[in-house]
Amino acid sequence: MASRCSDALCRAGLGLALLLALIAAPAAAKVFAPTTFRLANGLEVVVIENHRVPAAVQMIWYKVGAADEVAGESGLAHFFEHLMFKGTEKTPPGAFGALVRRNGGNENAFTTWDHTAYYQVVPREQLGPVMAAEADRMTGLRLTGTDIETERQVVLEEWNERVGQNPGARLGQAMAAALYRNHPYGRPIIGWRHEIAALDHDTVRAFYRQHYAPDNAVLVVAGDVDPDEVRALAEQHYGPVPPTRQGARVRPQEPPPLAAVRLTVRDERVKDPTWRRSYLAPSAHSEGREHTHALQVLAEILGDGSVGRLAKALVRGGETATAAGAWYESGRIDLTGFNLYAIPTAGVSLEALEAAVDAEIARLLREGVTAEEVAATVRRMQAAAVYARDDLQTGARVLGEALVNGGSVGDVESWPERIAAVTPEAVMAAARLVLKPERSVTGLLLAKEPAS
Amino acid sequence: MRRLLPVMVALILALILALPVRAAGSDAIVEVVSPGGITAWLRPDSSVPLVALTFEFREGGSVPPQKAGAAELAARMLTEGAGEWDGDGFRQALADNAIGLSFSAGQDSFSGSLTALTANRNTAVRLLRAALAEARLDEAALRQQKARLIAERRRSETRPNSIAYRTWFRLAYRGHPYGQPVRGTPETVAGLETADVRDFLGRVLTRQGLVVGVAGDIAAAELAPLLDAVFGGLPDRPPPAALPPAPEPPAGLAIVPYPGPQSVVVFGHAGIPRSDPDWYAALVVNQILGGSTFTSRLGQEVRERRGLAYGIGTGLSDRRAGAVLLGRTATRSDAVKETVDIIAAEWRRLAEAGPTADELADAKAYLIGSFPLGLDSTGDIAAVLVDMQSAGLPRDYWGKRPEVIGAIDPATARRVARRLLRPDALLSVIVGTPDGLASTLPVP
Repeated sequence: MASRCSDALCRAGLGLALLLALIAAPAAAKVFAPTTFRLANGLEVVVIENHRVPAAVQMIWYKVGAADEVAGESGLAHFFEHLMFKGTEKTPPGAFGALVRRNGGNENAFTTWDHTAYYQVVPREQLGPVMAAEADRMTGLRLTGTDIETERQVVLEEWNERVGQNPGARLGQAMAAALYRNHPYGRPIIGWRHEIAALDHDTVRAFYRQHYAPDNAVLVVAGDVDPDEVRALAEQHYGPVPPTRQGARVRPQEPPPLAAVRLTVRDERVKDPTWRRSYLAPSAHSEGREHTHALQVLAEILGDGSVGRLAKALVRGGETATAAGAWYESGRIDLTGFNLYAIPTAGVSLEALEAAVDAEIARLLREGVTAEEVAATVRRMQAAAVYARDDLQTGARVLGEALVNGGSVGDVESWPERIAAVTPEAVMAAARLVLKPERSVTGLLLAKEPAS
Repeated sequence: MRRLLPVMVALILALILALPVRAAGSDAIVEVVSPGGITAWLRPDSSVPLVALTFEFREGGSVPPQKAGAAELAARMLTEGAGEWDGDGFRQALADNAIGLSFSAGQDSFSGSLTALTANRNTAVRLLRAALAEARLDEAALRQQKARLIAERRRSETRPNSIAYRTWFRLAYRGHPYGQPVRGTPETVAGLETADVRDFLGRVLTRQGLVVGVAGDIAAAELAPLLDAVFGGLPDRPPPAALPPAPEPPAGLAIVPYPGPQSVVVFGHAGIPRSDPDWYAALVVNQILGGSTFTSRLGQEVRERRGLAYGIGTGLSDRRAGAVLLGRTATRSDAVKETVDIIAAEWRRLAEAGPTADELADAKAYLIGSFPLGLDSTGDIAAVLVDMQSAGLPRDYWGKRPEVIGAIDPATARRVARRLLRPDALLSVIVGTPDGLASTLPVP
């Protein structure tokens, strides 16, 4: 599943929204200054030098995610992510992980709607061995029926943890399913439970053969490394893997939005209600992408959890909410969500809360944003690009996500200037485009009504 | 994500931070003493133009049970207006200057963390100084923060993981401050007043209870006057007295009914204190038992072989008055009994026979190697410098850590496994609807 937050930035106290803005689309100053090249088999390689500690991160991103699944096979990309940790002919089950941990390293993987990524953090001397193992499992996986069935149970337990036990996740799934009437972003990344339970072995194996190939991947190496050394290692380990000539990624697209949708999820485990709204919005890679930077600024102005307009109006002034904010997932390939949330103060009805949010949106559309607001927000976002250099993984994540979704290194490196170029007029043009009732889904999470 | 186990992160972090540091060399840490007598450990690094300053005040259960949550409320009130800034002004100043400033309340300490770009360092220092010495503690802000904290506490009472941990500590430490949640309950928070926050801050924010760690783009000569600017105004008094030792947690099983497809299991017993000579061997034993979902015995048996859980792990926590070895997993209701039985059996097997030679070698190698890899951000480094000082470690220990862990021999590992792991002492809390199990302890 998507990792929502990089530790370093969260610890720096910069909000989630800001981080998402940074990771999502073009991000972070001419600070990463990466070296890039492409192997003959199509594998794109990015190297980010960071010599603070004698460590290296290898992160490989595949251009396949939950939105590339066929209808009826939801959860397959994520299920397969789990299976990539089984063995190959050369590397018995558990041996790759043991290699990483014997050197003090750690490893993990994550799946989103648009990509699947695997990474290891290891001492710099171990970069060669982990590259060998990662290249080996790109095509060499040996999956037994027992492997698949045991892991299916693990994935179902993951579903229990993330969804079955989590009413908020049920609300999110219901809202996505309503926001997207045609696009597969309406299906959960982890999948519908009954479809996870039914995925058959041949489907799983075919998915691997189809999507796991060097010409369908981006390799990012960050840390105490030399680009020439990385190039030699990449040629040695990944170079021999044959390409598969991937076709274009074609997904069903959304028709024009027709109607505002409201929905309610009730759950006996909920004590206090939550209010959310999502507007269908352009992403950095979709139609309307010219609005992305303005929408990033708008998300901050409206939704910063501390100084945003919603927080000031609902949390501080009126004591209407205990928390309120916005986030915008700009990095997706297709149309994305511009999202609002608020949690009412005890005794405040959801109707009153929603009216207060709508009043702020109406005021925004009527009065606009000030040049000072935009300037202060831009400064804060540019600072986030400096914080992004303070650890090993953020650069690898930002560049990897941008490239795997169709962006360029230039998009990332020029992000601070492009954010600085956002004007109040651009923010308002984006706001008027997106903040329309017919583009929205409003979701309420409520306690179960007592039986009458 | 395949194997992130979010609820274990805090424990794992505690485990990692509890280790002394290996770095380029002991000379990488500088002790800085300000003209006014404030001491800080500094690791300068100018590769990115930012600085992280982390600090900790010694606390120790000075909040009475009926005031539980006062420390957490105090942590939030410090950034709600101070000195020349009202609440909005303070938040805006932090945001406009991209300064990260937060405080957090723990069982044994009250800590804070400041992160700022070099260009905004002076503003950051003024804000932090004001927060520590001149917090306004306005009534309106207090009402808002109380409402927010109460809402969060109510929400946590609907989360099975939170319920499980809270119940475990309540059962384990009945009558001791460790049995109280630091963040309080909706009821205790509702009763808090400005005076409670003021009293807490007056007791805890003292120079004698202070430990400071700094990393990033700052030289020792620049840091010295900055320390006086930030902390010089605090009273020169001792911190609250240390807690009495926590009681031995009772053994047994408590089930908290909760609807849903899955049950959460939290399990553990008393651990080995940080100051004990066996601490590092205990870390090794824990690593083998449940330190990683994949290579640990519990991970292998519960997840890899049987697919019973998404995550399972154990960690050592070094609370000063009562160390614990605590684990957590979650599994479907009809598999809880099997899972609990496996946990107990693995506990016993490792206690009785000790680790294999390979397990010992791998666990030692992991614990030696993982530490420097985790020190890539200035915030991480500053936090470790604070932890080292709190644990009473000398600065030169940083390079000796690999030797200390490397020296743990099979006989020591076997002895400490037997000492640490006591299957008959396990206290387990299950939140859910497990089949075929019944409580042996009353649920508080």
